[in-house]
Amino acid sequence: MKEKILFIDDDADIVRLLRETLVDEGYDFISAEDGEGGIREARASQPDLIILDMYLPDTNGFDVCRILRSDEGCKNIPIIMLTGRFKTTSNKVEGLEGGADDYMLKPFETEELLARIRAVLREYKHFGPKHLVKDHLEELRRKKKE
Amino acid sequence: MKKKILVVDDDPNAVEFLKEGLTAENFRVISAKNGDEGIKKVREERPDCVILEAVLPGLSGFEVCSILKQDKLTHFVPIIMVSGKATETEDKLNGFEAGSDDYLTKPIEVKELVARIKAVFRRYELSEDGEEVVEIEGISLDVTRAVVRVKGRVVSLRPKEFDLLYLLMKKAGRVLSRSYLLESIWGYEYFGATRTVDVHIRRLRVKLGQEAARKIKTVEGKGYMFLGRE
Repeated sequence: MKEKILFIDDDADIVRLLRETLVDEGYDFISAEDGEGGIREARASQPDLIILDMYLPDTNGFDVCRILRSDEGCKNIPIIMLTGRFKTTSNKVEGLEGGADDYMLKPFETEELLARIRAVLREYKHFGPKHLVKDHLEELRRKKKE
Repeated sequence: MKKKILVVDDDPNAVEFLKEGLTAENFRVISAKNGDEGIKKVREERPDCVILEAVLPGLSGFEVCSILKQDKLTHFVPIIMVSGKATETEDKLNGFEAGSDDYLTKPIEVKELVARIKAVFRRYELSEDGEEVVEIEGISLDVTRAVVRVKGRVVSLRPKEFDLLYLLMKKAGRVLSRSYLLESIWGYEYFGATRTVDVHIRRLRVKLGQEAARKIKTVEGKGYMFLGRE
């Protein structure tokens, strides 16, 4: 099953670029051009990953991330923040501590973004649940026997 | 308990800088000055995260990362690779290709590194002491005792049903596809149809009872979701 990526950004050029790149890479691609639409789309479509631009027409990415992280249906969807404006270390810390899984600056190399997408999805898909259900349970059961 | 971070770097100044910074942020820091020592320390000391310099004497950081990520005993240890100012996109791609979970370019800001370490921990869902009891609205699952209770009543589950409930509850609020559940619980080597999941979900619902069973929602065409969170 194809993994679905939601891109929230109002810049039509970058949306087109990422649509082409991600579809070529075998992902399903959906987009929203503002924060409210992005949150609505995330709730409705349950994407596997969200790429979130930080500077949006109606709000900013920090607020969108906070809302998604407190939403029962969306709180576990990985988020990569993308920004050309909020570039300081404190911005990065705020984004990551606010629940983002990664924080990338524009301009970016699409190859690096793809590598970061793969890394985040790999952990969620393979290590997260696999670690929990297999290794974690086995370790706890082993401890119990000891 | 403090999380243990292993710093693998041959530059003593870089190690000292990270030791000071991370210790101040409440981590316990150990170090290794080359790849061989780093691999040995990961196997013996089981750190919670590795900060791995890409350029090392002997084995490169990329090789170390690849070895650790292919080893069944160490593949789940998060690795954040770092390298100097001259880092090219290709270096980062090599790092991610080797299995690195993140990649930072020096000079490193400790606060950003800490935020990225925590983000990686969240992704791996490593709770502070290993979560042993999950409880959501009257349903409790005690991993160490392998006991499930619904409003105090003990429910006897078979191991796969137990693991299925555990994963659904841990990921409460998220739709989990059948193939995702199958792969996570039965493993990659399991070639059973995704219908196996439906059969186990049905048994699980029956055993949990009508009210608790409603917490496991079927999402048409997608999979299953456990409703609510404690």
